[in-house]
Amino acid sequence: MSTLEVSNLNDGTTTVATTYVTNGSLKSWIKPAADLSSISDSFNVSSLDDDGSGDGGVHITNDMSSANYVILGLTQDGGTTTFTRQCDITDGTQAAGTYDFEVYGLSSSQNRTNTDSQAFLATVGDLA
Amino acid sequence: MTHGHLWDRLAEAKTRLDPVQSKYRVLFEDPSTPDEPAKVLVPDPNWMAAALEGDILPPIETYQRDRGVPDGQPKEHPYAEPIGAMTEEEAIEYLVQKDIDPSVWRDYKGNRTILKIVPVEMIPSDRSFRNAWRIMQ
Repeated sequence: MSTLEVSNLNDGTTTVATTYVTNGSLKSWIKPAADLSSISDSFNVSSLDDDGSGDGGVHITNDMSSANYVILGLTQDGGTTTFTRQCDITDGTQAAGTYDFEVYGLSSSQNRTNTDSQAFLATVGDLA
Repeated sequence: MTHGHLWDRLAEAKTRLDPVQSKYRVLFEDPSTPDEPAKVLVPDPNWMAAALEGDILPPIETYQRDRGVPDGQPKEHPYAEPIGAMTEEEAIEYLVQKDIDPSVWRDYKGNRTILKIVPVEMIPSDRSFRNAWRIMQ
């Protein structure tokens, strides 16, 4: 594997430090199966926890430097207009090498209910 | 240091290695939350490819030592010299020690079986009662 050692990148008009690119890139991402039974694709992930319906956890191979990083999460809407689906991070679970998430639906007639639905997750921040 | 950073090795490996879907899953229960259903650990296919290839992942001992490192302090595992190729069975044992709390795989002294490595076919595909799953004793 060859290595380019450069401090700056220049496109002819603008110069940015290479750290501008590395600091801003995604550090891990995962697309689990909707029912959390497998992983469709990922990067920098070692495993997925299936903790129950709509209740999962992600383990990172190269830890983040601390728990102060950002998790980006989305879920598919299921093609309906009568309820909403959301994905959130479970309180108190975000650590440098792992985080838990929940996927749930709610509507005007139904309280929040965890459900198996496609989630998309990624982390941004500093690596250990 | 000639082996580079773990994240860089993972990025390079993803361009070169085909993902490997493991034929195993790890079923476990958390003794601190006995009312919760059994959990299923799913090995990542890109991670498994790296484990089987060798010279990418760090020794498991580095993760164990890093558990005690405070947030924001330098950690050992991203910079450690990588280990050689593992068998799939060895990789699963590595993953248990990395991603499951020691209270499950090391410290539990009770009578229940709370951790099992099983072929993926043994995990029920019918998830109707997913939130009531327990490990059969």
